[in-house]
Amino acid sequence: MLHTPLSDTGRPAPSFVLGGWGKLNSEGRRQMAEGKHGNGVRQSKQPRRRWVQRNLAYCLIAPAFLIPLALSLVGVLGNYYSLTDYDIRYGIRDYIGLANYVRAFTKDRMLWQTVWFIVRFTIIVLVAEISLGFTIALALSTVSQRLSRLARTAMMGPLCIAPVIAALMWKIAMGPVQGILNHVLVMVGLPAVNWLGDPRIAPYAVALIDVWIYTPFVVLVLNGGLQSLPRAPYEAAMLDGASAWFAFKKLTLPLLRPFLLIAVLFRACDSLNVFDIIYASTKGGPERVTTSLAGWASENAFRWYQLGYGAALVTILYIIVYAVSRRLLRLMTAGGLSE
Amino acid sequence: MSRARTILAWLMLMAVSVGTVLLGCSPAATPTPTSRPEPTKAAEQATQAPAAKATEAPQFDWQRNAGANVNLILVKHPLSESLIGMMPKFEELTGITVGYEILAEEEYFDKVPVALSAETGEYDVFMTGAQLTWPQGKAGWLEPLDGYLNDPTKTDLEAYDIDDFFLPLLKANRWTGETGTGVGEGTQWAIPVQVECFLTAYLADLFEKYGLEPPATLDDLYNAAVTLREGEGGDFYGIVEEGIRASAMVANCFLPCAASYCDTAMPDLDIVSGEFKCVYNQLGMVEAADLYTRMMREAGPPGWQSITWYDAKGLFTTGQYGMIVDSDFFAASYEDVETSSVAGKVKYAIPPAKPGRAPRTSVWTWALGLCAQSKSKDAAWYFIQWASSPDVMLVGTRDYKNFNPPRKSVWNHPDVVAMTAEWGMGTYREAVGETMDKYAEILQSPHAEGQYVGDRWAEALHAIYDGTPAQAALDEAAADVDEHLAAMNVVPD
Repeated sequence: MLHTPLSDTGRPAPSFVLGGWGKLNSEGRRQMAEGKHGNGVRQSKQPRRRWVQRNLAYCLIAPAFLIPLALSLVGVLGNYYSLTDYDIRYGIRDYIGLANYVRAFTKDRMLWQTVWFIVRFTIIVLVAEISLGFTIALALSTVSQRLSRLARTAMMGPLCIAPVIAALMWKIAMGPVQGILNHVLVMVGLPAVNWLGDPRIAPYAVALIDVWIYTPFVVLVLNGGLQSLPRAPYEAAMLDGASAWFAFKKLTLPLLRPFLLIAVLFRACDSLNVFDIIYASTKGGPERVTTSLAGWASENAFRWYQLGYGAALVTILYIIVYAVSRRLLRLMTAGGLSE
Repeated sequence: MSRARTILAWLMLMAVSVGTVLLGCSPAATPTPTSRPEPTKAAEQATQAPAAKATEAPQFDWQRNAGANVNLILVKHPLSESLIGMMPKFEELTGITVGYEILAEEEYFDKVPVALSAETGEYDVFMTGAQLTWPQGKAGWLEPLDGYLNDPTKTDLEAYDIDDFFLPLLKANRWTGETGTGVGEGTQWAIPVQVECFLTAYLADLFEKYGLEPPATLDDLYNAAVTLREGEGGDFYGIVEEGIRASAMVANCFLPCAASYCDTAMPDLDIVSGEFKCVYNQLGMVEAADLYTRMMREAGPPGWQSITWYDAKGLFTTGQYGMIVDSDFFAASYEDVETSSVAGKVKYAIPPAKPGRAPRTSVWTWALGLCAQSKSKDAAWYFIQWASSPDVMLVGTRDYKNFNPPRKSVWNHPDVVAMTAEWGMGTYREAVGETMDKYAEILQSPHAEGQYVGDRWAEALHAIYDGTPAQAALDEAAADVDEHLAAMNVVPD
């Protein structure tokens, strides 16, 4: 047990005797060798220092935990508002319990329509982004480092543009009369498409915008994963005469699984919460076929002043996203992938 | 040494934590001025006028609020451009510094209620309109202006000349606060700085080519649009209209064509047994909605549902559209020889009406409101007074094309008359004057839920456009509105 050494006066040695965090200098070592012990005052500081030393890691990560917790209190406040008739013109007049939720589930047709839209939207963009991103990542892993770096840099362009700006760019490009997309289609002999104005096509058009923006993110994650795969299993497989397809199916896919799941988790949560792309391109139209749950909540809260009801809709959205992300995280830990 | 390091480490940890939390909690940045266009020489001359008058009548002190700061939130509009262009002169005259923020119209309508509901006085002056003052006044976000208008220490009464306003436009921004009635009486909630009535603009040469007359009824409008579309073909469309799913589309485009088809006092709500009942599913309005959306489907451009008023105005100037029914102030763009392909080719007419009935066309006034939570109310009032003064409005109209002015002296000023006399080959001033005199009115019932009522109506029009039978779509919308008004406890006073 380390005792604080005493000086020759019998008082506790000054702290500079300890040359660092619990490290003795030569004076300290000498006093230790002489068996001098600290008095009661000195000894009370040792347990504190030891506590700090034992819990240093927690102290350092505390801000990363406490700050999101503090920010999430805003969400808790929103949950409270969802139990009231909060109108942003008049404030809170009454506590109404679950009335907003009852209204949402029993009277609001748009709740089911928007949930169906975000589920469909999420499935479409996940399939497109993961398959496209994986293909591009695989291709990048087969070319030279230099070419791979250049390609990655070029692909980061969409990620550097604010989603709202990207959506506005696409809205102009998808213009039915003056848009460049239709111009190209007509040039090659195909009919013009009412991209954002046809209720049958608009959901896929906004999905296309999302795919354009976020596929590079998937490429980044998966390419990083591919770069980090160990070489030994592949060498062993090659020695055993395994085919490329076998190596891909039995080695690459299982080893890349955690990265795939991370990409899926991030994109799924983002897609279920989609708002900005739709707000900038279609504002939820035509005929509300592209209205997301977040957009519907925003409209109720800020356009029609019903913040309490909007908060209830956002809470429902949160529960949906939480359930999906929890399921995905379970998939990650099920294969021992959280290690 | 280790103790000092321990203390230092804890201090750093606390500083990082507290600093990060404080950073996230920092208040919204005060709007700062963006780069401003240089004021024109005419602007300099005109905006010196109030100062000159101050020296002649020294009892009014424009410098009384010197040192104060006023923050504005404005809609992207020629009105805003005119105010920003002349801003340095206001600052020089009053010693008040001005910050501003400009947003596109739909984003503005989304942001302003949120900003005002915080009641922090983040913005001192904001653009509002007659129909918007109803929910804003009820919410307590607007400062009543009668006290300022009648106080000689706060308003230069002689120079301001309140009687110079077209009285109906001033009254449009008065409301007693009684749901269902009281427009034109009671509190002055805002000062009009621009007025829009709604006209039909059409390409005169094509009308002559196909032997068409200015559309007097909705059927005429439909027939003309289809004739032009079929006659010209290709990328030419018979009519362009704004079509976004918002109450503004209903007020600006649909109602000017359809309001005369209703059999009730107002086309949106009627009072039945002491309660509001949505009546935009009445027979006449259903007919009008069906015909209007059919016209857009058969003769309008694809993607109608996403066209904003900025788009519609710009598209008509390309010469690829035969007609547009929308705000009269768009004429300033149509007649701009530098940017418009249709300058000198457009004529203007009163919007169509049901056969045998007089037209009923909307009126909209952009007005300036004073935030009730402003911390610089007197300075904010000085800005509103200056912005709506005769001289500033003259420069705004003449040099910045802020049409139409709500002041008689500006509308009848020789420069403005000379500017507009040739528009529409002489038909513009005639159509505007007749509309303002006889047909323009507020076509919504006064209450605080106008945004929902109008938005739901626009949604129904979209459904009809996409194939839902008109009666069914409007019945469903009317039921939703009735339910919403009941839930919000909106009952006539």
